[in-house]
Amino acid sequence: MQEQLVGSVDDLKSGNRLIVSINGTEVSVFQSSGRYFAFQNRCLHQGGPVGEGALMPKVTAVLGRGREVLEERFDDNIVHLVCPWHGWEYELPSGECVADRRLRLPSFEVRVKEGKVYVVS
Amino acid sequence: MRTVTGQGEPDTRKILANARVQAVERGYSEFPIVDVDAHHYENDSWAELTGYIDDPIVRQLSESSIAKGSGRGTTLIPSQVGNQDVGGRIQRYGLRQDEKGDEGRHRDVSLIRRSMEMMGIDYTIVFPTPMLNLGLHPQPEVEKAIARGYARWMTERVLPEDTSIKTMLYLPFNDPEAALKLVEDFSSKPGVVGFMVTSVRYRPVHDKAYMPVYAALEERGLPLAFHGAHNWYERATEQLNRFISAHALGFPLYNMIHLMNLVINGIPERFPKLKLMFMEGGLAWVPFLMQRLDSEYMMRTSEAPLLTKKPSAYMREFYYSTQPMERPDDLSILEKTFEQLDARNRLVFSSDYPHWDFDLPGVIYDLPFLDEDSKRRILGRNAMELFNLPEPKELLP
Ligand code: FES
Repeated sequence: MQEQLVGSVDDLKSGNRLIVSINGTEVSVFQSSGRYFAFQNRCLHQGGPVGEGALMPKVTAVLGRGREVLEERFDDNIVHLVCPWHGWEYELPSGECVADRRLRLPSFEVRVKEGKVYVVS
Repeated sequence: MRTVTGQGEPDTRKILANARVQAVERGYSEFPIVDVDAHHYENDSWAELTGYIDDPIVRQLSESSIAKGSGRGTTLIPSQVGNQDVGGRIQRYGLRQDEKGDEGRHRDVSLIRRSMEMMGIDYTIVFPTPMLNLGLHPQPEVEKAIARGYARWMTERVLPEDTSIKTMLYLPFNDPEAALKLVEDFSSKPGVVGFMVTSVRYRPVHDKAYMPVYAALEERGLPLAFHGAHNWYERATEQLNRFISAHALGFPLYNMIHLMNLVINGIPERFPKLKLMFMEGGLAWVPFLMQRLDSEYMMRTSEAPLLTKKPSAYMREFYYSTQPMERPDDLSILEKTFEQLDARNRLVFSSDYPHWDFDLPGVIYDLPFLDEDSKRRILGRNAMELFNLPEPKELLP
């Protein structure tokens, strides 16, 4: 296991992504709500730059007692990484594809030490 | 290493950088690829296009429909509600308008060439975007004037800049005489490889008024494509509460209706050399309709007296474009669909780029059940034969 320095926490402010090569795989490194993530930057659908996509809260439907839909809401506790090409959604931190849990976007461990961001390969 | 900040100039080459990686990995420079259905946004050039509308009344209407000072957009074309960009998740939608073209090149040509170069496409047949709804315009004279203006703008201003970009011109099908005149006037213009009917419209395609149009196309050997679209205001789909539903059903729906009218009324018997194509409804509906029509035809043969064979036999002679190609978990379903529609000879690749559900050539190239020759036929050769396209001067990427 090797730690590869990819940048600083400042580089990842304001939703920025760092696109780096880890053992020949293009990887997107980013931060969401203070947690750091690194995912393969090739979508499982048609290979789009998924790691450059939007971070969106999960949309949920709230049912009433009679099982009628009362409303839809964003669940801010569950964040999805959305591929910008066609909208496939992957759940953080697992990288599971929300529409088909058998699929999982390969991820890498990220370590932050003294303001520096490392990806473990 | 690079940093993506969400700022900076929008650029198709950046958006499709991963497509180029695939094109190189798969060796697309070894064989020609034809994209029979990609789009530009004619509304981005609406002021320029308006200058090509001959009818002075409609031209004036068009001029006054453009947001002052912008030169783009028009209220003259019916629009659809909906969220193509999936609520901002598909980010290129919000960026498109700001992308700049290359110096000395029409912006549309610049943008189309960029996507072709990234995907490894050697010929593109380009179609408009908002005009896909123009068949709903309540004034046939407006449809006619815009269709002719668009045809002039494309053939005089856009297409002459690049011979790798072709079009199947929009036909004003609510006015059959105008549609015929457009075929007569524009068939031999460079870059015109056929004609297109937007499928959301309500005059039956077997109406006798269309026979001269079919005859003119048959005589010239030019394909006629029915290009799918949806209409959420359709009575039957008004009850669907999500874009996913209106879109999933709408695109094949109108093509099914037109195809059924063409087949059951024996248009292929009356015009045996007419080349018909159905675009942008995916493929899964084709075996469905084949089975439905064949079964009913066995019992109600008298209602289709012009037919000399089963409906599916005619359908197998039509052409189909691939996108948005369904990808079932069980790929043998797709394989069977390919067999049903004679994909090796009748299926032609389409990307639909830059729309939200575009496909890359990889959707065909990566299919495990196709041999290399079939892949190359579907991705390029079938279309080159159908549209009579010469060998490309250079192969991309
Ligand atoms: S490539 Fe990611 S959603 Fe299609």
